[in-house]
Amino acid sequence: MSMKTTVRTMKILSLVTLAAQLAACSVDTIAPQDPRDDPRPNGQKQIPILYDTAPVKRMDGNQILDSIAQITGHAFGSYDLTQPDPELLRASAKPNIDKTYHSACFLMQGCREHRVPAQDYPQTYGVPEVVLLDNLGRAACLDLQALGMFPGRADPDGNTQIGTTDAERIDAIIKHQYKAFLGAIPDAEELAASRAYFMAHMAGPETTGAGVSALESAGRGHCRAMISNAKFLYY
Amino acid sequence: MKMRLATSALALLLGATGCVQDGDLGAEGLGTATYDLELGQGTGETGNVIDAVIVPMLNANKLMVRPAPSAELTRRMALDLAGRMPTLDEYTMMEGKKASEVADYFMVTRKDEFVKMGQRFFSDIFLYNNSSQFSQVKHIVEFNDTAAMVWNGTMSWKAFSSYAVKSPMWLNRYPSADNRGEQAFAYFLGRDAFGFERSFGVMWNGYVMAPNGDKEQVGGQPNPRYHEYDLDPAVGCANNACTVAILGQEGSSVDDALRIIQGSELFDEGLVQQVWKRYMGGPIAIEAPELRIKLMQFVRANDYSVPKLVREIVTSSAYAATYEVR
Repeated sequence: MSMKTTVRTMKILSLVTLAAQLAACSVDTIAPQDPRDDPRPNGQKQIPILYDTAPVKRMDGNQILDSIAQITGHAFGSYDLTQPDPELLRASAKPNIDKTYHSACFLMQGCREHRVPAQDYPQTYGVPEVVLLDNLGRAACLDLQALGMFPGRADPDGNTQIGTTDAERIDAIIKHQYKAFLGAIPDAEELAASRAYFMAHMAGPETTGAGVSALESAGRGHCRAMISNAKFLYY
Repeated sequence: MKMRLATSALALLLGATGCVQDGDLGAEGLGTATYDLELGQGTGETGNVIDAVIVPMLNANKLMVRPAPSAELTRRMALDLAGRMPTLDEYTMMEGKKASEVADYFMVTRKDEFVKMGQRFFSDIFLYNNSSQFSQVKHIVEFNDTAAMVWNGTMSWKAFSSYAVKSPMWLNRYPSADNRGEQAFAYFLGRDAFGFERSFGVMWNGYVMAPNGDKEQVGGQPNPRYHEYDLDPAVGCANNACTVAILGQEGSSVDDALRIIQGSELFDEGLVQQVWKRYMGGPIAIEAPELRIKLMQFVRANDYSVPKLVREIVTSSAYAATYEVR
């Protein structure tokens, strides 16, 4: 399975999972299991308080870009209101050399653009944001200078610090990325899925550049999938 | 890890969006245990004003707040307070720490990032930028620098409001009386102005644009007084009405407007609601009036300190609850 296909598959699975979660949430009234148990007339439905949870929020454009940059080591640039650059997109201040920070941040509908009130920011990601995230992931994870997605911020090949075999290094990379992106190492199910991805990718890796091994290529592809994961984007 | 965006007692009580799922009530949900952020599992006597309201409400519904694991809370606070993911070292450093210690790390030790996030927050509220027709970089910089003082704890929200409504940024970003009336309500009174309340803004009519203020260039040089305003009621109020009665009070100057704004309970509530929404993701629901009142009392008792209000919110058990469903 090619990296692109795999990444797309993982992303779709991620979004499907999110959709399922949101669909589950769309039911805001719950009927009693046996309608005869509900004493209220006119079909009124019960709204039981079942369990509690924390507030869940969507990351905004700044948070996404700054987090990806910190984790992967890829520099998107920064945003500094104190030095607006009228030659660019007005309030953009310190764009990176490609001048992409501001535009990406703005398109994520969350950048502190100061034109859209915060309360108008959406709490879900639409197709344009997902496409943009894929581009951000590609830029960050396939940047050969960016090694932050690997343990020790180093090329994983031959890195005995993280293992002496590919299997050990794969596990180390997966756990490192889960911890860095999501804050916790993967559970058994997630670990198994990620291992399967690595194995499939390494059997037929995409070329990402000269000197990039199959292991490194797989690790970079896995990084893209992590960036597109709903569990990364919501906190 | 199976994250589910679920409804909750908190969601229902606090107005956050959520869902309910039949059959999700486990044995632990039926328990009567309370949660104490500072003291661990136990009494609920934390001194946190939010917990003082929320915990009894949960208990009354036979629910408890479940604390987020260290990594989950660290991640949440890092994103909210520093605007980024925690580093791996920070995850390790925060293991086993109390919520107050995690908050203090990101608010005090990482103060630069916290202040920057606060400036972003204010820029989202006040929408200051150089993309509007009359906005100017120097005015934005000045406003942004002043906003930083609120977040580093050297200026209160009340003092900031006094500065803001007279600032060049405000006067240019919102150049008409209607604009200023609307925004004064939105920013400081926590709700949109009704149509008849927009006339609140006429109290700013004493500000008159400096001569030649409409020309960006003078003799080929930037005009240092471009879109600068002078307070000159003798001129401004001669040409336009400056007197209006709003919220049961009459005023004819910006100082009067500030007296009306800052003297209103809506001023306290507006701050509470905006900060709460920022960190909790939704407004305080009308079902929890006591929480709103307690937080309004809190800001008054703490001299309208925004960082203190933020700290109270992010160290509450409501903020520090887990989203994991067990």
